[in-house]
Parts: sequence; structure tokens; C-alpha cells
Amino acid sequence: MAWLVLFFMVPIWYLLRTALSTSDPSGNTSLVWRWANFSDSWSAYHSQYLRSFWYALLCTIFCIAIGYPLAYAIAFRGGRFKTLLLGLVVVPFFTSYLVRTLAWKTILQDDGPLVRVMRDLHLLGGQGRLLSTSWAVIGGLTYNFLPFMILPIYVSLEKIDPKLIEAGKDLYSNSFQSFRKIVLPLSLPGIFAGSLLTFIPAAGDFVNSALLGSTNTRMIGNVVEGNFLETLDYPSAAAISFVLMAIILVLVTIYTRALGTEELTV
Amino acid sequence: MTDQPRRRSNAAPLDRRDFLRRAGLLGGAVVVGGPAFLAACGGSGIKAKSSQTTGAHALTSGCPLPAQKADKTLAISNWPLYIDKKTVADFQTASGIATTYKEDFNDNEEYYAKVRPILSTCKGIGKDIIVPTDWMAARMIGLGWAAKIDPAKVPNRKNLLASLQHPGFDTDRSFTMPWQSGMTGLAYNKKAFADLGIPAPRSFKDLLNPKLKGKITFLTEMRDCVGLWMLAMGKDPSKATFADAQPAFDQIKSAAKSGQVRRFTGNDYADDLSNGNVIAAMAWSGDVVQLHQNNPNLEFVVPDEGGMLFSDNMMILATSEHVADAEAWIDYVYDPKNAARITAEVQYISPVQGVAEELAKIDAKLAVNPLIFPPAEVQKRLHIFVGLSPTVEKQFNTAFEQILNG
Amino acid sequence: MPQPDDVVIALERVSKNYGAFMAVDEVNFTITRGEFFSMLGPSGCGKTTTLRMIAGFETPSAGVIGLEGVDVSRVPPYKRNVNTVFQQYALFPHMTVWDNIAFGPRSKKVAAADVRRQVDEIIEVVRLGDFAKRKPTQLSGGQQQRVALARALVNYPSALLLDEPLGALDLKLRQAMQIELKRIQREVGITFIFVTHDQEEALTLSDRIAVMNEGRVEQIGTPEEIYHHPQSVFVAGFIGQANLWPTRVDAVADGRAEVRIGDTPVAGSLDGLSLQPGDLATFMVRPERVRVTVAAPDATGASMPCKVIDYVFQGPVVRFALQSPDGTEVAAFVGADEQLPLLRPGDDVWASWDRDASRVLAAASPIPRPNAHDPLPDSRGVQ
Repeated sequence: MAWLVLFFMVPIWYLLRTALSTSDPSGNTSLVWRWANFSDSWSAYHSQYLRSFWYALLCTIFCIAIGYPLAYAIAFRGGRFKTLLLGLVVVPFFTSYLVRTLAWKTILQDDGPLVRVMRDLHLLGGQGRLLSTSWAVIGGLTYNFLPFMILPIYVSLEKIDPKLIEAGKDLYSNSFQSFRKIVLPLSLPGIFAGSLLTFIPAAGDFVNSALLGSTNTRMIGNVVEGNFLETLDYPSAAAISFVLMAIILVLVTIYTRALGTEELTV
Repeated sequence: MTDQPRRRSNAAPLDRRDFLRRAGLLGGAVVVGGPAFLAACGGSGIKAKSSQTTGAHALTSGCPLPAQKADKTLAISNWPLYIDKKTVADFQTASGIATTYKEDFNDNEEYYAKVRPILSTCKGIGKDIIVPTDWMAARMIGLGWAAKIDPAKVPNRKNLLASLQHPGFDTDRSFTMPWQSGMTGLAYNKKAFADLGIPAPRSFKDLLNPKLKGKITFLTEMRDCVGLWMLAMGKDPSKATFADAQPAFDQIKSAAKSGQVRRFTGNDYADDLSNGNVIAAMAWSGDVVQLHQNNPNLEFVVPDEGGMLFSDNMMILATSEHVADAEAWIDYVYDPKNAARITAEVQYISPVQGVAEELAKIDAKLAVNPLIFPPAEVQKRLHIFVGLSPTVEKQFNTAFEQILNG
Repeated sequence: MPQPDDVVIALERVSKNYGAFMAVDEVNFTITRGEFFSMLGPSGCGKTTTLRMIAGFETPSAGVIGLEGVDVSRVPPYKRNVNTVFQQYALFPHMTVWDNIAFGPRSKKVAAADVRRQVDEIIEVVRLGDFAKRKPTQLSGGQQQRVALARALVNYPSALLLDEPLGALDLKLRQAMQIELKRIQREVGITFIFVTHDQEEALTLSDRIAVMNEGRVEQIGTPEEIYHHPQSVFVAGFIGQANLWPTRVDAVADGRAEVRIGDTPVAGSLDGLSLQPGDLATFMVRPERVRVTVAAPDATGASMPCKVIDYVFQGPVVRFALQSPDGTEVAAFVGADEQLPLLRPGDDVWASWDRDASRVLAAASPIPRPNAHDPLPDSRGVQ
């Protein structure tokens, strides 16, 4: 309880205070209970909010699309390499987030082999590049948050008794049907946890957009950063953070209801 | 990361805060060139207390100098990669002053935010000299954080370039001495332009050629980006108002929206330039000296319409207990011999008269490099951004941030 | 011999090896419609692997598995009309009892109305009507067992495969479920193939039993045949209890062989085994066939003088441990109603048995006696 107060309530209180203040150009703030900061932050930056949620959603979907088969392969086909494979999933965390993202700048660079091949295959649109496009930002987000998807899905798959899959096949379901009717529903808690662990930080991320994107891919995190560091507009930055938290809370609540996770925790 | 531009933090390579801010060297009010510049510097803005709109030098509230110590020690905060390896050691030997030189001044605003709570109560931060950029120096002098430099203790002061002697924020250099200066202009890859069959750019307007779509970058530093575009739009950034800047904002915005400009950068434009992601960029002269050595196709040009100029300035803090030691340091680095050694390493514009001659003895090629010793013709075309009152500065910053937010 | 039409499952020279390890070695048997067929043997004998090959979870390394006259050796499990009751039931934890049972019909794309009818019907057969909406975790072990049965039976498979289905239940529940299983099998009339290591369970439930050891079928027969006419030392020792003496054939006549225990000549039925004088052999008498008397018995069967080593009164049965003439130990279970004098260790007694109680088997070494130290069959605990 004391921890909660110390590490959650106190910072939230300071953030809220700041969000309700006004500031002068040198960054001095005074608390004037300016609730309009919240509505202002939406009206001024709604396109960045929406872009952030759109990117985060795509990132989450891509993470599921890539992470689920990987987690499945590790859980059911990993055999004695399971630990090694899981280790490989986690290994990138030993490098700094920034450095890993920066490495993608090199991989995706305009004259790099990847872009050249894609260009030759006419896979790239008019701009003929990946860097500084939405796809680079979404790709960076997907790459950076993928382990947060793989690990919870792996845990939920690992808990499934292989006999259940045999039972499914025994009861006239082929591999795909058994997967759909048994494995998938039983791994939903993992997908759910992974989605939250991916979507929430992705929606607030600014590093990928700053390094891999352009002004046309600015996310809400970049706005917070800019308001905090460039224009010294602390109240606006705090208000944006608050609105972001509130929207995420609402989205997560809807998501939880929709998936009915209480039902899933068998 | 093949190149190591001089002024980049070598710590966390890509924290945008680092490179952005490092880039924050923009013109407050300094002059390299002739008297025309000095005139421009009149309205140097100062951010003082919140209610104050401008105002020049509210020194009445300055901190009283503490009792001085005689233990011959000195602590300096400077930008990363902004000095050679020998100077500090040589100074210690020559003066007997134990000197702690830290490369922890990464970012004007960040440094300001960090020290403000302490310095505003006139308590020391354990530093004697810091090196803020012009506009930040202006703010700090206004807050009374700077100690007066005794001209008698700094005889080499006479070597300060005439053009830098009377900036608007410190008209007789009572509180600051320039460390290095630099130009902001246009860097481009001449081979890439030849390959595209278009002439090398002479103006930022040349960068709006559709063939260059997605192949150029601008700087995230507001004073540089807006200043250069004001020049391109025929406005003088050294005297302009927010209204004057509007066409520049519009032009930058449309270039950003349309994707003509690939992205806005700090020092990291250097990576984009050297690995071919872009072929032209808003750039700082000191970086390009380096880039050119690695890739001779990369050139720096001060656009026909003009470029921007900035300086970073040594400032003795009013809380220093070693003002005399600090003055000894300033005097030491204003000896052209020592200054030349620093210039040879950092390759920015030295504020010290006579460096060219000394540098010729070390590196003849550098001594004639027009990016380090801009000819008078170039100096004439360099501008310093108008001093902004806090309110107007916020107007500018907000408008620019909106463009960056896409 | 069963008519071909009645054969549901036929295994012909079916083998399964994992590398050099022969899990199942040339197994042959046929199972007829409606039969309750058990595979019995110690763990690792290949009975579960054989069952899994019938279910389709394993593919035979060699041989043919016929189901209703069709070779299904390489048909995947979901295309075989057999269903399995798993050892730990493997119920789907995210589905209700009703949905668990409906899983098979739904997979087969049975019309919804028929699914409902079939499930409701079978749910009554296993007496789980009141639990239809529960999740498996909310049920007791016995109830889960019945869900597993219903889930398989609802598909009316050609054969129901049960892999140690009672192993997870405690003794009392297991005995109740044995009766229940038998009732359900009679009610639905489906062929059951039952894998167990519990000989008493196999004897209780089965129409026929295949006793397996080290990947091979040792003997197939009705419980009575297996018990009274074991064809090998392994079967004799594994099913029930047996007094076994390694010995040598002295003479053969009229389907019987003469051997000696120590110096005492005894004879036993060969049950069709072809042993010659001089062959190594094993003489067997079940303990409950051994009579214990103080006076020398009349001469209708075999008899030998023994000494009492131990004497345990267990209510319905008195258990003796006797020392035979050659020094080996002989077990004898005697009905308590017999008028026995009070015997003490060291007393001289006669052990005797009827002419038809003794067998002479081919020698096996080492002689497995897995049950030699078990208590009475009725009170056996979980193995």
C-alpha cells in the first residue's frame, strides 16, 4: 500500500497538478485548475492521438501474426531447444532500446540490400524507400515489442496439455480444427496479456517515430517530448499524458469486456 | 555511425534529446562578420522571471560572489567532443590549477532545467565555467547567474575577434567569452546531384525540386530552420517579427507535409548524408568539415541568400569560488597557440585572432579551410537570429513544434 | 472362430520400434463386435503403444491394423471411427460438460438438432444430466471420468479405447466405476478395448484378455483360461498368485508331465505344451488350490510333507507359508470354515492338491513373480 502511494499516487498527483497549471515561457508553472488543458490537448493533437492508436493497433496485430507462430513453434516443437529459443527471444533486451532501433536505420537505409531488393520487386510505393515512412515506424514498434507478445503467448501455450490436442484429433477434428477449437481458445489469455503489453507501450512510444519516421509519422509520445523539451510547455505535456492514460484505460476496459477474460481463466 | 561529427554526444548515441539539443547552438546574438551584424544584435532576448517579457539585463537580482578560495582548482562543463586531448593537461602543468573538465553540457534546455532550482537560490553547482549557446547565455546573464570577468586577469582577451566583441546580450563581453562558433547552411552530395543531372544547390529554394523529394532533411533547431528559410523567403532573421516569419513557417510546413523533406534532424543528418539516405541537408559547418574528410563528395555551402551563425560562450558562474582560476583558463585558451590546437581538433570557427597562423604550423590545409576561416564575402552573408522575448520565443517554438508534429 | 463380419479390429504382425527399442513386437489379435477386450501387462509392456496405434496417434513400424475390414494403419486419428478415453481424461477445460460431449458430433458436422439429441441421450446414460453446464474443473474425479466416457461414446465408435481410465481414481471409486463401465458397455453395446496393468480389474471386466510382456502378447484368452490355464510362467505369475518351482521333466504321459519337487514326485497338466523328458520346466500350483492337513491326505491328487513357516488368519481366508521338501516356500490359502487345528510355525503338515490343480509350464528365467508378496487379491491396492 505504501508502495502504491509512493510510486503511483504521488507521481500521478504531481502529473495532475502540472496538467491543471499554466506555464510561462521559461517553464515556471502555476496551479490554476485549468481543466481546459485536457480538452485542448485533444483538439490540438487528435490526429497524433489517432495515429498513435492506429500504429499501436497495427503493431499489436503484426506482433500476434509473427509472435503466435513463433511461440507455438517454441512451445510445441521446441523440444530440447526450448530454453535456447526462448533465450534468443529475450537476447535483444541485453542491448539498449535505442541502439536496437538505430540498427534498423542501417538495415532499412535507402541503399541497403533490403530496400534494393524490395525496390526491384516493386514492393515499395512511390517514395521508393522504407525509412521515414509509417511502415518503418510500425515495423520498428513491432520489432521492439515482439518479445512482449511472444512470452505471454508461450506461457499460455506451454500450459496446454498435449493430450487435449490428441483428444481433439481423436474426436474428428483435424490439426487446424483442433487448433481453432482447443489451442486458440486456451491461449487467449496469453494473447490478451501480450496485446496489452504491446499496445500500451506502443501507443506511448516516441523513439521509433523519432528515429525511423518523419514529421508525418509523429506519434503522441513525440508531442509530449516536444512540449516538454522544446517549448517547455509542461502543463500541456502533462495533460496529453493524462488524456493518453485515460483513453488507454477505456480501450483496455472495452477490450477486457469483449474478450471476457474472467471466463478464460479456467 | 561511421562518422563522428564533432559536436555529438558520444554517450547514448541516439537519444534525440542529446543530438537535438546539442544542435541547439543557434544564434542568439553574436557576430562573426562586420558591423552589420553588430547592429542586428540589439534586441537580444532574455528570459528572466516569468512575468518579465524581455528585458535586457536584470542584473540587480544577481547572486553575490561567494568568498573566494585559494586552493587552485577549477571545474568546467562543456559540450561533448569539443576540445583536444592535450589542452587541459597542458593548462594544469602551466598554471598549477587542478582542473576537472567534464563533457556533461549536452543540451541547453536540459542543462538549464537541471541547474535552475539550485542556481536560482544562488547555491553552487560544483562548476566554475559552463558553455551555453548565445540565447541561453543571454537568459542566464539575465537571471544574474554570471560572474564578471576581470579584463586585467585576461590579457589575451585582446585576441577576441572584433566581430564577436559586442553581442547584444553582453555588449562589452563582461560576462562571457566565446568558445567556438559555427555556421548553419546547406550540405549536399555533389556526386548525387551530378547523377541526377541537376546543378549543385545554391539556395534552400533549390531543394524544393521534385526530383529531390524525400532526399533532403531540415534541422529540428527552430532558430536554424526558420532563420534559413526566412533568408530564402527574402526576410532578415536578425530583425524579423513573428509575422515576418510566417511565410517561412508555411514553406517549411508544406515541404514537411508533402514529404519533400524526409525528416527533421539533429546531428544525425550526418548519418543520413553519409549513407546516402539523403543528398542534401541543413547542416552545421563543423560537422561537414569532418564529413568531407571521409567523403569528398560532401560539400558545405552558405546559401546565396545567407546562412546562420551561432557561438557557444564560456561563462563564469556567479557561485564560483575560483573566479581567478577560471579567468586563468579563459586567458590560456585565448592564446592563439592553444586555440589553434583546439581548432585543429574540433574544426569549428575559432573566436581567437591569430589562430590561422598558428594552425598553419599544425595543419596547413585546415588553416585555409573556408569553413573554419570563412572569407569576408561569406561572413557578410551570415546572420544571427533576432533576440526573442520569452513570449515571442514561445510563439516561434509553438509554431515550429506544430510543424514537427505533422 | 468369430465370423469375419464380426471382427471390428484386427492386428496383423504389428510392430513399433523407437530406434533400437522394440516397444511392440509382432502383435496379432482380433477383437469382435461388442467384446470387452483388455490388454494387461506391467508398465512398458507395449499395451499403451498398441492402443495408441489403434487410435491413430502412433503409426506402426510394420504390420497392418484393420478397422471394420479396412486397413487404417496410416489413417489419421480424426478419420478413424474409434474414440479414446484418456488416462487423465483430457477434458477441454474451456468448455462445459455439455460442450465437451458435443465436441465429436460437432466436428463431424452433425446437424445441431441431432447433436442436441445425441448429447442429451448419452449424458443420461452416464448420469450427468445435472452437471451439463459445469466446467470440468468443477467436477469430481468420478464425474470427470464419466464425462470422458460420454464424450467418446456419443460418437458411437466402432470401438472405444480406454487407456487406464480408472488409474486416477481411489480404490472405492474404482470398484464402483468398474461396475458402471460394465453396465454402460452392456447398454451401448460398443466394443471396448481396455488397457490396464491391474490384473484384478482385467479379470473383473473383460470378455477376453491379452496378457502382454516386453512388447509381445504372451497369451490371449478369457479370464478363466488365462487364470487356470496360463501358457507361460509370466502369465502364471502375473495373473493371480502362483507357487512356482523350476524343475525338469521326468516323464510325459496323457498330456501330463512328471516332475520332482526335491525328492517328491508330482505331476501336472501340460495344457497342450509339448515338453519332452529332460526339458527344463516350471511346476505351478495356485495357493488357493493347496490344502493343508495334519494327517496324510488320501491318494487322489498330489501331496507332500511340509513344515509351517507362518500362519496368518485373515477372516475369510487363512494364509499359510509352508516349507516344501526341497526347502522352497509354498503359499496356501485355505478357507476359514475348514476345521483346522491351531498350527504353529515348525509344525509338520501335509500340503496336497487335486490332480487338475497343477500345471507344468515351459521354463522361464528369471521367473517373474510380481504378485508373490501381494496381500489377498480382494484387498489389493493401486499398483
